[in-house]
Amino acid sequence: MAKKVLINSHSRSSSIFLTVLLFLFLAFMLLGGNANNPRMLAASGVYLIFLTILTYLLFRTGRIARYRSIFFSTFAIGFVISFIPMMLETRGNIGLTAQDIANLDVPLCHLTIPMLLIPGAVYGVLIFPTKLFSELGFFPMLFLWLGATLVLGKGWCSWGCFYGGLDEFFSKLAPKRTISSKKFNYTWRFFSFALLLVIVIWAFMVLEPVYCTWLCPFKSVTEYVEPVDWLTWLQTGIFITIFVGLVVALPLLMKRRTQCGLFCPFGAFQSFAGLINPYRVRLDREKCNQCGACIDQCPTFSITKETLAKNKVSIACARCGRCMEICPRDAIHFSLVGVPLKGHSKSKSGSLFKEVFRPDTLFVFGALLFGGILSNGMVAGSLLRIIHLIQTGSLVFK
Amino acid sequence: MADIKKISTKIRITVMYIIAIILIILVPLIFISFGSGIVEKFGKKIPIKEGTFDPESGKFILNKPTR
Repeated sequence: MAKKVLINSHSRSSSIFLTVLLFLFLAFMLLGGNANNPRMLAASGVYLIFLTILTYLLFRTGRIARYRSIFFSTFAIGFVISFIPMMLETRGNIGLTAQDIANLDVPLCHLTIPMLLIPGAVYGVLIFPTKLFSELGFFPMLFLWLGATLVLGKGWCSWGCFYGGLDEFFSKLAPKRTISSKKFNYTWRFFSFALLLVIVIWAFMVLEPVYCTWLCPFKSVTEYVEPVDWLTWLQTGIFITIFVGLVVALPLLMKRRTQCGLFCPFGAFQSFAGLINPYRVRLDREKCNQCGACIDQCPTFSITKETLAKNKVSIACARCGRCMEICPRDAIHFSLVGVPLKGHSKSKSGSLFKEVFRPDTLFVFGALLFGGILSNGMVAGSLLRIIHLIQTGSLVFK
Repeated sequence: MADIKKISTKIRITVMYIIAIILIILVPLIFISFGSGIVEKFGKKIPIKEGTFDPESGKFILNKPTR
């Protein structure tokens, strides 16, 4: 039997054209930024080759979810390998002390953004002051988030978030599902939205980034408050429990991204913020026969019986492309707001121009470019650290 | 009437594809801007200051911004 041609696949010439174009963009950004550092230049070169191969395979086969997953997991693992040694080099420890807090030697990530907005607007003060990686503190992260929201929207959660790849990685490890999706209560998908509301109000009331203090599972792989008393031991216990439960165990058992889909309050926040991005995932009413294959496979629980009946995906959709790969009737598409679904063709019927100017092509190209540039420092850095580990027995450079 | 609708749809589609291309071009510009001082300028214009902590109690101080 002939293999099914996936809806997002491209002809050989289009795939080569897109790969060369992305290679040129990435080479300029990845190699140009490391021209003064020969070791980092070489590592970035290796990563560039990896991304180029991945790009070709992704466009040629149309298997967006498969090749994105490899990229995304590599990014997250590279982040973990690089971040902890980087903290040791910069601050000397990964167990946050009171002195570190007083010195503002605290790393800040995008997960804090929803908690900073209301206190910032009301008091004009950021409740998470930091100077660890930049004198500009929070503003580089804010700028990055604004850019990512414009370019990727909610797609940040599948193409840019350096934590999400850990869920993704563990959800791909097990060959079969142990917990069936049929038993799953889809009401849980609203939990992240409820948690978002709670932490935003709680942070405003106590003027503290409470999610980072109490709930963030990724403290387990970045930095944590040094456990010195029962309170800090309790916090550490919560971080580890949520990490093991939602990032490792449940993704392994359910083969889904449970932390991203059911818990992450930033993901819930991004569901709303991401609406400024013009890309959407849409269902074709004429083609969909409500078979429900997408409900069963969506990693972030964004398609349910109710949304499918309305021919919609929920705003929590992270643009991973999984539903498009498995839909037997090619009824799910990337689309641009205001552009009708008609004319979205398979590779055999389209010219180079038609294939390049397709919503799926343009979104994936932008997402790979964004993710490739963002991940380079961590992934290329992790390659150098692994070589250093083999040579000296340590991941830390100095 | 049908012609006007057709033309407006075509214009809308063209505009959306132009936006999509602008977003791709924006990606390298976002990352280049980090080293160009734009973020610094942008950050200074936002009327939000970073708070600080009391070195003795470790408590967050709301009214003593450092920036």
